[in-house]
Amino acid sequence: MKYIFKRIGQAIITLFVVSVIVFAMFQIIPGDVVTNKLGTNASPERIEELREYYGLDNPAYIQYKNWIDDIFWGELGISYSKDLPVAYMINPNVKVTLCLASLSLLIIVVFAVPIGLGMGYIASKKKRKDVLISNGFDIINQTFMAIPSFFIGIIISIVFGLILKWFTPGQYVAIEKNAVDFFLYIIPAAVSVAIPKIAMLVRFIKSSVEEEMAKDYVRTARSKSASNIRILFCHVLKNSMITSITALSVIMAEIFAGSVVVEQVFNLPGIGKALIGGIGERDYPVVMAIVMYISAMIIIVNLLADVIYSLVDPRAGGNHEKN
Amino acid sequence: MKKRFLLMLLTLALSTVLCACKDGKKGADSSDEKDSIVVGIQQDLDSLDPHLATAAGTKEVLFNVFEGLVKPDKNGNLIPAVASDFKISPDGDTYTFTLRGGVKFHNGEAVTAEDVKYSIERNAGIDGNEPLVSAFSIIQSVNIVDSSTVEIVLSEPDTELIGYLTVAIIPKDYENLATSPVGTGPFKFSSYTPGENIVIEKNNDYYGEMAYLSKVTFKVVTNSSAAILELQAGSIDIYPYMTMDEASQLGEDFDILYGNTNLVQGLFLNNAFKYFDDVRVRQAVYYALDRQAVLDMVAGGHGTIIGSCLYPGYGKYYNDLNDKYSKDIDKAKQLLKDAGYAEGFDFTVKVPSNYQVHMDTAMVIKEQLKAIGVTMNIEGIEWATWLSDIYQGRNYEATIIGFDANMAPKDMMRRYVSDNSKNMTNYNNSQYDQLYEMAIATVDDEKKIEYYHEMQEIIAEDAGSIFIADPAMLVAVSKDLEGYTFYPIYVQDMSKVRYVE
Repeated sequence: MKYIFKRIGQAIITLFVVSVIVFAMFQIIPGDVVTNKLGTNASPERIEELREYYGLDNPAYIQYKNWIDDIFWGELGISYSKDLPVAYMINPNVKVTLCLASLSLLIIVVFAVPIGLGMGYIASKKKRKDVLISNGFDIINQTFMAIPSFFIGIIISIVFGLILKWFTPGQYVAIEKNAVDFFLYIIPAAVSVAIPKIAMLVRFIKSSVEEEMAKDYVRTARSKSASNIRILFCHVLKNSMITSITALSVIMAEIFAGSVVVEQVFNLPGIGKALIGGIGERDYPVVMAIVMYISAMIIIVNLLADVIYSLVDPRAGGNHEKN
Repeated sequence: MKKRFLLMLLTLALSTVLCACKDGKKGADSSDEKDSIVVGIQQDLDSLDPHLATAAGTKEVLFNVFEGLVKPDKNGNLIPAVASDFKISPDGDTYTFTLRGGVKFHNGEAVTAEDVKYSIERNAGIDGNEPLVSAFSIIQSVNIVDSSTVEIVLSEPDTELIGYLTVAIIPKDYENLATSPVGTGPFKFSSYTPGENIVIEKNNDYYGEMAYLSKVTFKVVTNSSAAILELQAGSIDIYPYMTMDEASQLGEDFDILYGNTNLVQGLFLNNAFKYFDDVRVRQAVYYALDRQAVLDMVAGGHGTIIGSCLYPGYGKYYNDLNDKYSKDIDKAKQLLKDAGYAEGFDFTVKVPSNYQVHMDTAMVIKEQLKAIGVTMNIEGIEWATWLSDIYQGRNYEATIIGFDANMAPKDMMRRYVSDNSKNMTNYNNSQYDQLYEMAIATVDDEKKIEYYHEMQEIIAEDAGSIFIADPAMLVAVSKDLEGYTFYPIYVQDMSKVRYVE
């Protein structure tokens, strides 16, 4: 329990530091929301008036304090460029990205775990033929790891969208209108995010399975004439999962980053689109809210990973309690 | 166990494929509807309130929903809209509008003189705020003469104000403009999803020529490669912002229409910067350029060369000065030598990198300037940075941009008046300033034309900036559609678009 509190405390400090950094960046980069909003028809008087209206004529620390106040009033502030509450504006985007990220995660786990286990098992057999297969697989796997998600997204759009016509690029349907169509449309995007990460997770699981298979308890189990399948699923799986969970929590952060880019390719109205729009318009309440959101998600995922970790491996939990 | 797992995987893969197939069919079905289209737009709307919206990308959409007392037609004339007729008093300080009978807002209410008064006053800042339209600051009062006549009284004569009276007429004290806007245009607002799309529907009570389509969706596609994919997949029917490159990627399902963007694209020189404060240096740069070559490289020769600070869409006010500076390297070198820079010099041009056409133009000009020993460094910057540092801060040496303007020529001409807040180039010529005062004060159109022509002559002679072209606008339109119309201002008029029978 003490551990959880400590972690939550850390999370709040992290969020605070992130918000200060993002806010400071907006003070430094050139361009501001009012000149951007008024465009080429801005008159100096109108600029002055709007600056005052949004409180941008205040010193930076007061602007920051106002923003914090807005956060605690629940609306996450008002978007300067659209005059709408930020929460209202980005809620639909958050939903889209969450769905995309969860679907990617599901695809990653569903594909990476069996492939990783299988390849790890093959690699552990150490026969000449198996070593060849294992090395060949590593090369292919490495290649998939190196291809950026957005590129896979473009390829998928062209091959499956334009040539095979399995889906129609641009026929995005909001989840409220038709949840089935919504998920069907984000599948190709989720696959694009997932492919490099599958390769990454496979590598982790493969090497950890290979390592575990060489350990003494496996030899013992084998001497008790347990079948290979039984050894793999009943003994090795659980032990190698510990490494995988750590890897997954790192991958989760990358899924968010990947989603932001892939959203552009598939024109999904997720937080990536809102983030890029917000930066372009110098609309810092929107950008801050989204950065806060992503940071919070990553912190929570890491926290969860640690909790699961301690459940799977009691040794880890015990250590933490003592701390 | 192994088998069962394989089976599971197979089922998953298969169901994915099957589902995807179903989706594909659905897409085809929806595009079969013969009365609705999807138009791609490059940026999200900044506001649904037509008076607060400032982005050109918003105005081009809202043009379908809102109308002013007058509105532009495709030839650049102002035609009556909410007003059926108007008179400008001989001394140019009173405008009298007769309202068209039977015009209804989209919410069913009739347009009254009160609504007109309210709409104009809201823009003129008569309620105590700064005017939303700065040209309206000379409006002294808006008077209701009778139920169908409204009179606008100015504090000083201005015959060009009519060009600004395209501002939207909205219902008096209507508070939900930002969420469900109500206008009088050929289309009415249906729905808006921030960052995603705005849907408009045919206004069946429209007093004028009815729209053909019953529904138009303006879809936000910020990424141009995504836009191309969606065009090819049939998810977008019209996309107005193509580059030559992108246009050549599209297959046979699309027509590429060429129009004018109605911008004055130029290499704008900061006249206060060390080298460009000398008229000879500016002229040298002008003589070094081959503007037709720029258009050839950037847009396959499409677009219109200009040599004036107005674009040809201004009609009678436009002075064609294209022959003033033809490429002449010797003359350019001589001018540089006279100015004391025989060895040439370096300068930096800052270009908003989101505009591919301006970036491409910069590349070509950079090469051309090498011939006179001038090195131009190109620095791509963000649009937000351009607006604050260059447009407002005037902290730059040179920039390439396209200026848009209202239909009133003074909107463009004032950009070079020495003490005007929009004089980004720090151009300073007292003769120009004087003529400007005379031009806006006169109520005689012949005189006005004469003054404006002379002003264009003066700034061209001074090479105040290097005016290049009115760039081409490449619009991809599905072969199934016809009636797409170009305007002398930046709008997407959907009321004339229809399916080919």
